[in-house]
Amino acid sequence: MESTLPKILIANRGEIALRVVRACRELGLPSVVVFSEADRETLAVRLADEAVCIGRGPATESYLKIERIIAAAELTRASAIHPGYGFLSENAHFAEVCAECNLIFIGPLARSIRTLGNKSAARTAMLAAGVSVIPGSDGVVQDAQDALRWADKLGYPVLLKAVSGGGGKGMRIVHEEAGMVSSFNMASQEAERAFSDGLLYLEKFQINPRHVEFQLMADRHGNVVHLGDRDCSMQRHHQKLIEETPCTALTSDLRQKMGETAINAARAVDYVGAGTVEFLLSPDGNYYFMEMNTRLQVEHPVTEMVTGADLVREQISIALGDKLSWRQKDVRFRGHAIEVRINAEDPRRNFAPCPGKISAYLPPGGPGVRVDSHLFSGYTVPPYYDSMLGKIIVHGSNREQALARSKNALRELVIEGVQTSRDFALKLLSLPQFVSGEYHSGTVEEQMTNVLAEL
Amino acid sequence: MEVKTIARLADIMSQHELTELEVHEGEVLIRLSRESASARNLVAPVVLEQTSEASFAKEVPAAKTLMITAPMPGTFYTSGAPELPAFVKEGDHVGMGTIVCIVEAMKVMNEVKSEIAGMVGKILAKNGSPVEFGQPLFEIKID
Repeated sequence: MESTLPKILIANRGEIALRVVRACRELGLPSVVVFSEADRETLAVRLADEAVCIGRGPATESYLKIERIIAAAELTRASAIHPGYGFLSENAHFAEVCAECNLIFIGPLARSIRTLGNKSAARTAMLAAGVSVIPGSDGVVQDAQDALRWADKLGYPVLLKAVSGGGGKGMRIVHEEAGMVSSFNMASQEAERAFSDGLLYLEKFQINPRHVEFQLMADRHGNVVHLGDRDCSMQRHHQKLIEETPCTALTSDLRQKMGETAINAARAVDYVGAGTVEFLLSPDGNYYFMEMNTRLQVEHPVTEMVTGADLVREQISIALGDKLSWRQKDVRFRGHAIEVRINAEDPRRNFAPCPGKISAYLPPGGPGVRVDSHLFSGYTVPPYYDSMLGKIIVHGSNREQALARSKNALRELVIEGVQTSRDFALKLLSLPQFVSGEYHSGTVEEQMTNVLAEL
Repeated sequence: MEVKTIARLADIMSQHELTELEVHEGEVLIRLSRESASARNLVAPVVLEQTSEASFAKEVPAAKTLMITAPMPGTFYTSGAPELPAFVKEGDHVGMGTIVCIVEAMKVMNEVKSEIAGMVGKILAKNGSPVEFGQPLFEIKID
């Protein structure tokens, strides 16, 4: 007999696909996972109620094939699609196709994705909403001359950024006039190659800011809440390594102001679903809107640990039309949480990715320890996707306890068969700057030589 | 025991959602097992065991057999419309570009063309059934 419960199709893989399958089970909703040939033996495929192969290993032949994902949804009579993170999760066109095919896209409206995905348009929208943004150009800079005029006005150093960008590509710091022309051309070409759009905008370069983001959740009925902040400043090449909440640099006053700003940002674009507003917090205590991510983030578990919320369940409920589970005053924060990402890479060889077979895997456990990972002994890490193996998230009643728990958990962790960043992460957790909480987005790179020397 | 008997047994298993079936015929023992619905995979794998040197080996598909597989997930149709004859049947010859079936998805009837030349052997999917990417559809004994 056919169920009348909405079926959720998960258009993703790895640990996040497993995360969403678990949320579906808790909600009592049937799940279907689409997978590439390289992911046939994965946990998400085994645990989902149904699974459909949609192509070969490379993402462009599977997870990015919109028509095959839709075909799989049709075949299995799925009602909604959860896009996870990465892949098609911030693809406005995919959101539109879902709508056209009467499939619920679990995320914001296509036009919100489109506005916020264009970094320059996002800045303009935020300015109009009274959200303070990093001082910068008024939209696109047409050419190097235009860039020079803006840089003159704002003062060096400045940062040239790709309008359609992300992940650090198409970005160039310019310290003085003499470097502008060549930096402009290089940034533009890199952006063209990476995003098929060479347009740039310009910002005043912030020196050693902290990267502080706020988790938002909005329903279809106009309710928006924030679920606190996350400090994601421990990064290498714009890839986050360690995230924690609450950010040690925020006073409760600042937290409240930033939270309200984040909510205003969401309202300015009629946001629905889970979203994250990223701020740069400068050493002088000023904060600026940097960008908004229109999807669930990798580091969402730290927020879940301190609030008790299940963000994936909430995403699905909201998409199916329910009201938000909380009003702002219902959101409470308890204790401290830290997440450490574990990647299949070798820090001693410039973090080269290390796909291969995991011969032994033993996750840590105990009070306040959560492991979000798709690993199992015998699993083969495929070469086609990012190198993240999983996340070790800990909760403690205070930061000191969380830090100690985090180190113990990492020490307990066993992964054999591939090189991992586990030891590197342990060193980061022991850096005096991290222990004291006085770190910023340049700390990891500043300390890299010292850290690698000790591995 | 012939290959087509095994194929029939596999069909029976699918139809009745059996996960294991064991058949003794003379000195030959066949055991078939397939994965249960909780980890569904639309192809039923077949495991064979021989208890004696039966004439079995001759009936296994010859080494020069290739498969035409589904290029995308969708519904498999052997002809262009219910009233039309099948594009190909067992024993037909196909060449590069011969349309062998349709995989329909999102209301689009995608014609699947052979990329090899040879003779059509077993047709491995049922008309009107769902198929996934990579699922074997036709055996082709190459020239």
